[in-house]
Amino acid sequence: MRKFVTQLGFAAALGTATLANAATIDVAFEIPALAAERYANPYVAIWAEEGREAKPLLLWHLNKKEDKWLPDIKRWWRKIGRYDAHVDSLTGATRGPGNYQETLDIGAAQTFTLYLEVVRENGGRSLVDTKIDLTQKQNTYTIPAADEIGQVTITVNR
Amino acid sequence: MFKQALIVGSLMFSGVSLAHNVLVFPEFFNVNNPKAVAIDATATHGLFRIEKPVSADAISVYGPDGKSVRDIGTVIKGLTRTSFELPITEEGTYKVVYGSGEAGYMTSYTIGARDTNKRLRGVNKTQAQSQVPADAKNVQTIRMARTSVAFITNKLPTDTVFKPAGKGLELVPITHPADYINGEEIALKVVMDGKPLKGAEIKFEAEASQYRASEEPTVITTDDKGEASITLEEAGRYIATVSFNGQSTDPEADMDMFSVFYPFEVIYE
Repeated sequence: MRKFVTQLGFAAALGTATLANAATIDVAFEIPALAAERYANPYVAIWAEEGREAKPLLLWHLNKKEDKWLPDIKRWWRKIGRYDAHVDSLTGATRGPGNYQETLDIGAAQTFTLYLEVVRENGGRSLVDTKIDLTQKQNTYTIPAADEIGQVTITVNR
Repeated sequence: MFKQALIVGSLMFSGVSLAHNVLVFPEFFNVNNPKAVAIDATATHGLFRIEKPVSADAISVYGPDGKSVRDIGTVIKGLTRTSFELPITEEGTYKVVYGSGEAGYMTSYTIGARDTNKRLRGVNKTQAQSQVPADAKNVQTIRMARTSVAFITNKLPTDTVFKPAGKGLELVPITHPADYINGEEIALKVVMDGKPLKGAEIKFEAEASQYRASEEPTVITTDDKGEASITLEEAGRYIATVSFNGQSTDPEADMDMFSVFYPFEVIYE
């Protein structure tokens, strides 16, 4: 059962994940060109979940002070957005179709699930994830393409 | 047996308030600092279908701090609905209630050689002593209330508004309504006059079921703690309904007939 998380407890949980041997990951992905009427650049959110903790890594959205559409990034909203936990993470304006590579600081996280959620106005939504285990030797992870996002390649920088 | 027949009779002949479901529901259940959220209150037979307006006086809103919100915007009573746009000024979970805090009474009896049914609206047992003729038979006083409750969460979910008022029948969330996800368990609690109600049946109807061959509501029953849970596989809007028909604890009534209508949304993940 999903339990109620207080804002304070949540912030405290996040604080614990920023110690010791910080690692970064390179996340390479494509925003596909879609033949859609009224195409709008998608919102992109990337974050890591470790048990009940969620660590915001990236958010591309309409750079307005009050972006009322953020709850449409559904899982991200429940894990991060509604607690304002993303204010210290990498944020930027939405981008059009193309290939992107972002280097993200994952802190001391060792075993976690990396999530990417891509939501387009008047369009589709894709939520993809992969488990990442830094205690193993594996340095490259891939997530197959979905409707709103091409294949994702994650490279661990140790 | 006779008691049951009486109740059915009173249901059939009463007005809008008993024959229809009452619903209060927001256009958005989860928001990020909008100016306001549109809310409709209606008496209806459908699921999220607007049919008849209801009394504006019976609408109340509680803010994330649990206190009654005084400025709920302009309430408009139209031909089919009672509407307002609730200004959202605080972060947290709001509660919107339709239904007066006080339950209404109705005393019924039969009289004469033909056992004619008579009903006195707004008459409790004390008042009935002077208003029901001495030769009346089958005198019964019912205490009844039909209420609707909905929650709106602006950003972070809070639970202050879940505290039961302790009067009449109430549906209390255990799983936070902002965390209702398809395929995940939703737990609820039913309380009657503030105490857990065991064996209460909660009926769940999907809005989408109106477009299917049969509506097939799902029914769950509360346990000793008044709690029950359900997992809804499809995202969308739903209405949960719980009723209590039984012996009244109120000295002014013989029977209680309470219903609560709880509209909510399940988010797709």
